[in-house]
Amino acid sequence: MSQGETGDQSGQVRFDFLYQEQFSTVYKFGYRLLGDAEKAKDLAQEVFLRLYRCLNGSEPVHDVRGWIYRTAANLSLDWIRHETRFMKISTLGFGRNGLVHEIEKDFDKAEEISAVRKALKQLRPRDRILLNLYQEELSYKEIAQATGLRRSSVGQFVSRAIKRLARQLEKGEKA
Amino acid sequence: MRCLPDKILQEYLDGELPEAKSRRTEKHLAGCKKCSQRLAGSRAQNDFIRKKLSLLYPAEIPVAPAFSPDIGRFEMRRKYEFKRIFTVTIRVPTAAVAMTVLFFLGFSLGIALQNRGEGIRVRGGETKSTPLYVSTSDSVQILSLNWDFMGYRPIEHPQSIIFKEEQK
Repeated sequence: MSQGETGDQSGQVRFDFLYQEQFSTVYKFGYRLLGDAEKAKDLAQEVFLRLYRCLNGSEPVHDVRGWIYRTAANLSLDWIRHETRFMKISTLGFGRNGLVHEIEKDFDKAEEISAVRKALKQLRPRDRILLNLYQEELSYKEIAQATGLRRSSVGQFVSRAIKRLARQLEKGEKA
Repeated sequence: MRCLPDKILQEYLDGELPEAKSRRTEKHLAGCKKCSQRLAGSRAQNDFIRKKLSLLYPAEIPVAPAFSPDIGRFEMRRKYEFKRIFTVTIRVPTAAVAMTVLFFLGFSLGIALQNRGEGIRVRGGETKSTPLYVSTSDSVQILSLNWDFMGYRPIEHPQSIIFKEEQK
């Protein structure tokens, strides 16, 4: 067996391990942001497809976790913008595979979730992604890497995004 | 001492301040009632938002489906979406423009064919249609298939043209 084949195999093993380990992370991230199980799955597939290409290509990936979050954030940002442009997300902001199922289970909780989603939809896509990453309990450094912000600005942006979301939630409750 | 900005309070809450800065912040908080109240407010708001956002966690996480590098579902969906958008926003106007162009082409072709043979005008007389044949080709100009619709040119020797009606 040649060295190249051995290298390919170890790369494949590494990828399989990463895929099994990180799939749920990306899925959760996508689900919270896009509000739909199918979309979350698609997002995860796309992120890992790109990771696969990177690991098998010439582009080196040093910090895989950071890379995954960054790719997921960029893809979701594209997706949100794309969908906002073509008005394809339902006005309530949840998909057929997500909340509808939950509504059947628990009406009150579903109403609360719907309110949070509505409030989130009022925020800018960047704020939504930032809050999602913050909720993941990533460090400021990791958030900065994923969003392209400077590390020193993350606190400021997080603080503002939290205030904006709180304001939107308050507005939603009053309405 | 000036009160702490929101950014510092947020970083302090998240444990992201460097140690020296964190100590300075604590010192300030101990002496500034306004800032310590703001900190408490920020903490409560953070907790509130975290609690709300935690509602969005999926009820169950599916098992990672078998991965195949050949299948990019996201990309496929995008392509499909593009196709859909293309249908609605581009295909319809394109079809409309194409139909208009075809209509005008057909219309002008019809007129051109109709005008075929009508391009002979007898000098001083009316235009006659459908020439059967022309006897002296050098003395007449037949503007059959007059594509440019520029009108008829006069004929030098009208006698040399024999029309269908006259033949009867």
